[in-house]
Amino acid sequence: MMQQPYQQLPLTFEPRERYTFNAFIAGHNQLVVDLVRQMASGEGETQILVWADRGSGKSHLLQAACNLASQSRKTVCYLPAREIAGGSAHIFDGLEQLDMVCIDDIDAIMQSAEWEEGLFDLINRIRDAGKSILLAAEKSPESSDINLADLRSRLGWGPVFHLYDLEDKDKILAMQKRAQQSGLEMTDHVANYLLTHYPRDLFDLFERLDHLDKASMAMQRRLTIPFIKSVLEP
Amino acid sequence: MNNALWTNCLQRLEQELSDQQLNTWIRPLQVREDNHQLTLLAPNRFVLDWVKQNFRDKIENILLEVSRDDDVNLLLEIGTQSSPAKPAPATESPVKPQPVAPQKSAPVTDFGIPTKVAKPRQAIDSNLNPAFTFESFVEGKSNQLAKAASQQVAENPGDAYNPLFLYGGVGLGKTHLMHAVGNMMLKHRPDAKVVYLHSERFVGHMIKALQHNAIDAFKQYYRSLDCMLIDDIQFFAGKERSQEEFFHTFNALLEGGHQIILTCDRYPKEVDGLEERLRSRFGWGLPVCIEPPELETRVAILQKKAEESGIHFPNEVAFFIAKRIRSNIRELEGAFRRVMATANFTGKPVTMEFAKETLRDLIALQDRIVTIENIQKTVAEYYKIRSSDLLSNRRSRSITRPRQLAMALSKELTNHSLPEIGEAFGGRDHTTILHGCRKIAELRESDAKINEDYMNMMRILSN
Repeated sequence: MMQQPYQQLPLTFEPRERYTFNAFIAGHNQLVVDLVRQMASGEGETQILVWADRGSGKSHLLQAACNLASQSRKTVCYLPAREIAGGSAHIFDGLEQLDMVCIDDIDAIMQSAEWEEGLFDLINRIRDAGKSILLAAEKSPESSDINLADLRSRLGWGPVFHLYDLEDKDKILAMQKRAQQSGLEMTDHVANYLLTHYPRDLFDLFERLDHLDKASMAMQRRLTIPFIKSVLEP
Repeated sequence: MNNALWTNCLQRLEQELSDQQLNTWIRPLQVREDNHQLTLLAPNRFVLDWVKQNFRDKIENILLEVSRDDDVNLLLEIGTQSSPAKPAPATESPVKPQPVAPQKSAPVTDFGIPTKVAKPRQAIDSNLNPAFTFESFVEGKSNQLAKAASQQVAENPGDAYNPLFLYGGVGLGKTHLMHAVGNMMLKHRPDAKVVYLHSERFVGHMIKALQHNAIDAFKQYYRSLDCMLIDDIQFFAGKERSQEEFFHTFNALLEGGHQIILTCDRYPKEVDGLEERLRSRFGWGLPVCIEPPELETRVAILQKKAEESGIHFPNEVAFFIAKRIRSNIRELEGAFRRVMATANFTGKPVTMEFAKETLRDLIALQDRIVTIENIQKTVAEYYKIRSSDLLSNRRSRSITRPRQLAMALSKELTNHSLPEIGEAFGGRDHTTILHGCRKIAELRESDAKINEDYMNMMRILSN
């Protein structure tokens, strides 16, 4: 009997959140974004690894690539390693048949022999099949906690890119875009306030924004500084 | 191919599900529509089970709506559909010399496992990458012996060295040589049954064969090969049943005078978790080591790659990259591809400034990782002495050798000047460092133990 690995996978994702390249604020990462977009269109590189701290848009980039590829009827798969790590590496079986595989947060499955060998084998199979793989990690392959040297070297097979942090003006733009998607209007003044009064990485900023979104909907209020204070610093 | 029904269904799912649900579970599905049946093919059991449990009802409901009362039957199973594949990139293996019979969709057994029906001689899929030839292999001091032995084997399969056992660290060209032998054998004898596979794949095939009661077909298939190329046999470690099967396959092939080539990340005797009888058999033929390439070879590899891509890659840039990336060729290739991708995309020529800018983070990282202090610590730990001994004036042999080794490694692995290295070794003169480096170079030629220690530490520090 095979294990059932996904008991813990929540089905309550925020519905209908759409990740696109257009909504991605590239900042200094335009080249990486363009190369990933090219890969999703079936051209250019067949393996790319991006690494950066959380909140730098890795998941957005991977999902945008899947969305774009699927528009041209390509078969794709997005696997969030953090969420599947409790299961079995057999989830990689047969994925080389797909046109593009994206694996997010690969750090989460490092140091497990089963997962490391599984990923290593998957990369080999995808390469042999001439398909594409896009990987995201918090650490670069050189400094990642990988036990299997063979895997480490295969992670560096294609180009490896660091996603640089966005500058403040780009973070403001990113927040405003996200707010706009939810039908919220966010002035520069409000965006600046969030950026200067709370932790500044996008992961935290977005989380706060989603919280504000729900509150604003429930209380029928616009995004103003007094409202933000009342919600975030009650 | 018109999957109108599924396309409509998908449009509805896209409105109702999040991107992550779609991309993780729905978009990996391949589809086949026949008359009143829609078959969704999942790549593996986990995706299949998850889709059945969580999305089947929804999909069926949508199907009912979009098919306008037609009675459509939904079938979910594991399998694949031979879809119009995109052309593989030039560096991959775009043309399989003798393709296998087209894979039909469906059965689990058809994940690349040999089927029960014996294939005609021409129908073997060798899995060889035609780009990996002896011509495209860059030879240097570190790999010339391995290349020569491989060529011998390719010229006289089953005779020269059997098995040929290529071992060494990751990304040094073992797989390339293995493919080169296979490709040359096929050139001389196009009907030869040559098969390359990774040891994990061998294990996978065997497990599937056992699950489907097809172990006899499995045995028959592997024992009928003219040449079997198995990569990374260290992954057999701890898998007793696979080792046993491999042992019998190995014996059968060897007795029949068929060629076997194996690669491994270490010497046969050093692989833990491998049965003694296998270890000793692996050593029967010729074990040859591939060392990490020296600077000149790394430069030549970069130049060869540039030549293959038909682009201008200045020498100084090749030297710059080769000096920075020392551990293995795969990483060298990764850095090369990154520079090339950036150059192609921006339309800028490859210059020193450009390469430095493109690889900025990689260089910063490496500089951070390999420091003189780090080298001293590693060497001291290796020889079980204190780091302070390396900086002291003690002149006993047990201290001077490690100290000289640490000096040589500092020169090779960092970009510090000799006076800076001297300073870091207790304020020694730069000529002392130079003498130490020369001494180690000499000893590495004459004393295998010193060479081995040097290479071991190099591996520890480079990884």
